[in-house]
Amino acid sequence: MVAPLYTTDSGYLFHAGKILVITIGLPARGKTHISRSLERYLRWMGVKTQVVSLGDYRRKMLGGGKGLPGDYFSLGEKSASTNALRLQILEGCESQISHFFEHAKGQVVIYDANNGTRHARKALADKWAGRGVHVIMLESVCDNKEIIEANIRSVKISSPDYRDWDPDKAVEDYYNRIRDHEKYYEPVEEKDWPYIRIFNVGERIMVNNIKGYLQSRIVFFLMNIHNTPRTIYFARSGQSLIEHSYKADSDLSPAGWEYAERLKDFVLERRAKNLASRGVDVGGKGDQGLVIWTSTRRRAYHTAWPFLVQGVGSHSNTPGTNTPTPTPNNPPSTKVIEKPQMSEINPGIWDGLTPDQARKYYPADYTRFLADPYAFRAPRAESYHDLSVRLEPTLIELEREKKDLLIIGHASVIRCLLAYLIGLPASEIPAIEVARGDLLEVVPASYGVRCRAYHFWDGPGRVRDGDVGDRGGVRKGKEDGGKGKGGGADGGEIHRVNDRPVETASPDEILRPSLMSSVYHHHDQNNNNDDDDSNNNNTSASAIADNDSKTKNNVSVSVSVPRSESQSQSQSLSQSEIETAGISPTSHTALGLRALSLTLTLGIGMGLSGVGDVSHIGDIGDMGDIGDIGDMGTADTADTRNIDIGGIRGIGEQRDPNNFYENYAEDTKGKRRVVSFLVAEAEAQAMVEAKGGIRGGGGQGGKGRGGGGGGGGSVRTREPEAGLSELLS
Amino acid sequence: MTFNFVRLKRFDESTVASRKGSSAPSPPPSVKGIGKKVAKPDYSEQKIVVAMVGLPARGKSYLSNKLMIYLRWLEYDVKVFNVGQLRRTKARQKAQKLGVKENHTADFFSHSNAQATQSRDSLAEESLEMLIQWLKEGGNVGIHDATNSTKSRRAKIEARLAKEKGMTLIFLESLCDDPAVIAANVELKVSQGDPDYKDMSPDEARKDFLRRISEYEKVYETITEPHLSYLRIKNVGEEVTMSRINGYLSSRIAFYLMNLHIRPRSIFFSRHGESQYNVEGKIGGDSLLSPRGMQYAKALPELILDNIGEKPLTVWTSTLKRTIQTGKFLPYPKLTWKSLDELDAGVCDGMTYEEIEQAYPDDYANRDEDKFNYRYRGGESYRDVVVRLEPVIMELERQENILIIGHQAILRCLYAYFHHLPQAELPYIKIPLHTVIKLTPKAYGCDEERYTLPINAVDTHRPKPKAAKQPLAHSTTQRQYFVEEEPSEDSSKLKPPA
Repeated sequence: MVAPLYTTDSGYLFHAGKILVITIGLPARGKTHISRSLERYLRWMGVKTQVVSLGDYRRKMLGGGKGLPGDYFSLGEKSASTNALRLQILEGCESQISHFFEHAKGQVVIYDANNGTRHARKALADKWAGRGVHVIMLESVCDNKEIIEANIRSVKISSPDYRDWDPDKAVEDYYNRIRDHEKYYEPVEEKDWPYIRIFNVGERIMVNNIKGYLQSRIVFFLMNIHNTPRTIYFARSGQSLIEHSYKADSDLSPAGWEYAERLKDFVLERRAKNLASRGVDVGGKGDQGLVIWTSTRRRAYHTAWPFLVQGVGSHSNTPGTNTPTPTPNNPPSTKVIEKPQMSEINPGIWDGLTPDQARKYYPADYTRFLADPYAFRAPRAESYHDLSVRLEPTLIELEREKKDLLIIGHASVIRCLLAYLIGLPASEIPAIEVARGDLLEVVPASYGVRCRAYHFWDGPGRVRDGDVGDRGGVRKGKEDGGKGKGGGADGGEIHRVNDRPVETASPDEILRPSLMSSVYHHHDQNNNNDDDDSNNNNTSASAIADNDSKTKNNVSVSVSVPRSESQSQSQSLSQSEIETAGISPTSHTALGLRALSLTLTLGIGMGLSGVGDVSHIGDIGDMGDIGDIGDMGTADTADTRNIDIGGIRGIGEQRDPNNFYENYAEDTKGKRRVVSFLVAEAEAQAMVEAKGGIRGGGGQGGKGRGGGGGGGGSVRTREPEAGLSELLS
Repeated sequence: MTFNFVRLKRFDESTVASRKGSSAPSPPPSVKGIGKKVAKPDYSEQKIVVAMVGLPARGKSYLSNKLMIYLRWLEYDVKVFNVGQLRRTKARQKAQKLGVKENHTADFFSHSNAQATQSRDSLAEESLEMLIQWLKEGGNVGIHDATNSTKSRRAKIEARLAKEKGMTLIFLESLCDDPAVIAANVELKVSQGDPDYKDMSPDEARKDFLRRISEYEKVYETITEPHLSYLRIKNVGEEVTMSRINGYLSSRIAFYLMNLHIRPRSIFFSRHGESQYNVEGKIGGDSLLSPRGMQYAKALPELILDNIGEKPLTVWTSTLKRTIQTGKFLPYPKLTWKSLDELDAGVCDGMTYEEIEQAYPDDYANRDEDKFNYRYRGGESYRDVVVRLEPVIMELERQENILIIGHQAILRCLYAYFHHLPQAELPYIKIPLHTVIKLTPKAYGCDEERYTLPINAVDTHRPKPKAAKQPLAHSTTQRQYFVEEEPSEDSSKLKPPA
């Protein structure tokens, strides 16, 4: 969420007043997908937006399908009690709308419901127009049977309404529900209100009487969305020779080239798997192809180089002009596009400085930076806000792209793009962890996105000292009982921010308060087991967590990333997979953030070691090693673990910690997911213990994160609620 | 205190050794020097035909022209194929060669005049063929500027393009029911020396033109065909209807057109006052104003007030000190834009041109050779700046009176957009210090006034070395009435009419 370019006293932007977007469409027409995408985009622009979903509200109030009277969905004659129930739900939703407009200073409400009859929507529109709200009808028309079927199968039958149903029966039941609606459905033909009609989710669009900037912006956005299945991959660029300088724009280091090769192999492998899971062959029907975006920085577009030369082996071509020979895994459509908007955040005069030096030379600026790392702009630098604004056109193109997309970018850019896709509040952006050597997979889904991280590379540049096998923080961490200094360097001083070691130093990194307590400040009230986590799990948090009091604020995450037993054998990779479904931007809850952090913190640190001659730029070359963090031996590296914690997308309202569990429990899907996460982790723990291979800073306690662990399989038999409540207590 | 970034300037030699260690199994060619040239983005897959629809004097040519300028600025290859121009050119040729003078009064445009109707149809078709040919040769967006006022005419275009692969057809209808706007358009037509009315008095011309409009009105059919992709614009920006618009470029076009307006307004450009770095001859930096620069900042409010009077104005500055300082005394709302910051000279930031020439002679020569495409190492090229300014342009189109206090490279880019100057000349546009440039958008370009304050400043303009003295292209607010004899790529619209 980018804060707006400017703010106004009223809180309304672009002179657009309040807008109510009424969605219209038969069930399974992608209304929710469209509503959520729009909400995400408008929030990114700084417009206060809220989706009010009738279906979610009903499920929250009345529970899943089984609890409903039989005539609830049929539109014919209904019993009086059913009608009363329906009315009650309707009024509940409307009171949410008025609350958001009148008390929460909201500007745009997207009312996600069927609104299939002309009469019903006229009544609604008249009511709100009477209160000075601009009403826009947003109809989603879909005559493509495949889209409808896919939508039903992927979204609808996994909804709580069909808990414990046989999938085919559920689909049939859902079709019946649609048929009932069809009898009464009236498409938007009346021109009384401005309308936007979207056909087959963005295939084409019809607009009537749209006025003003914000409204045209909405249309522009809607013209660019689609729900073609695709995957967006994010990876950082390879290590460069001069990591910490923006201006140097240096070439890749030898390790960087190796990384680039590995990345190519891994992406092609993952992509083949993902396509296979959808029943699509690489290069076959349904495979839209892969396109690669990089920035115009050398380290980024050179990291894409192996994709271009694959099967060609030519030395004379330049990136961008090469036409690779098609090979089974590399369809000829692979194209590398360099985008100047995607350069990393410009550190301005802090270029080349470590956070430590920045603090030393610019104490006043540095203090202000720590106070608000998102908005603060060092002299001549870009703030994260500036970066987000710069990336806005890229976002539209990202929404637009139908091919699979690999973004080889810089940590700061990936942070902003992820924050948009996942729906994180702006203040969280600088704290997102994006490690080199992890491939992030984002799959857009109806309620948001699913995000997984795969760890595929351990090498110089991933962690500080570049020589993970021998002198990483792993062992050190163990010696320190997992809460020590994260493995002091062999021969380097430890740089610290906030009395903690600095774990990164690329120009990207200098502008972020790594794991700063202030960022997560709101956590510690409701998340007391944090320091438990940080002690017990060997991750970034634990490795660098000093026992000082600040650690308690430091929620940043604790995930055990199973890695290869022997890290020096980089070919035996383990992949840890963490999944989270879109998390409501408003869910400032413990679990929400935890989930995100889990996704994103799969290891931190990158360094410039292994690069011999950087000393001429300054004496930054000899940074301390903070240790490899979060390392845990795992038993079976071939086994891709599916740690899965998503599905906790909210119903839309702000979740305060007290009622979080309540909201959450209502969403079965989410519950299952979190459980599976716990199980997966417990499994990982068990395996680690079985192997006796716990190394590094954590896990000795044997107590899994969130208190849910407790060793091995016991979690599996545990009631999910128990694990959760502990997690949230 | 030693700052690393100061030392960075000279890192080039010292990294030679370290860069040797960097190799891929099949490395991309190494990049010589510190900077490099960047290539134009690849738009070769974009083939769009925008066919205008609308009665005469409804601003079709205005919209085509705006659209062309915007898309060309984004480096798409765009060309307007105006049927009226083709007709006049042909008539002129005929008159010159055969001495036959064609009747192009309103009678010619009457649909009861079968012969003329046929002749107009064949002109429109010929123009469309030229457009298709041009797209095949590598163009991206061809704008067919004709009335295309009937369903049958549109169906013909559709049928013709269905034969071509990969071309998208969009109709862009311009409706106008504001009598004032129509009257202004008619007046423009009559007063701007349209050769169709060369031998008529303005009164006769106006009458004839109105008659021409009414001839069209008789047969005009607004777009109702449900299967067509179209955009309908009512009173330029008042209301937009879109149907079946898809594709990135099409949605971009739609969004741009939604943001246009034709309310009278002016855009003021000013560079910051002379800065310390200007005095020292250094580029980049974030220095404060020199004493003379401060004088300019103090004198600026009066100059602006003289021009704008009581009308509202918003001041945009960059985030650098020198522009904020320059705007300090202006009593108007101000916004700072990061996107307005000066072109980033990367490792050359803070050096004088002489120092750059000495330190990186190859690069210096390289940059002079192709300044638009040259990207400083660790910095930006003019092309990068153009990309980053796109949202600023969009915002400028929406706004009314704006004063931008900017930097040389930034204002060159913005100025080039409004005057539609070609890329090659863009980096050499003269934007002197202590001068306010006032642009007033008109139908076919911008009127320009320059106010130079009598406060001395250094000259930071560096002419293109070794280049033959070429007069810079001049923009014009004149309408183009004839097809260029030899259409030259970028400057086709720039030469004053013959």
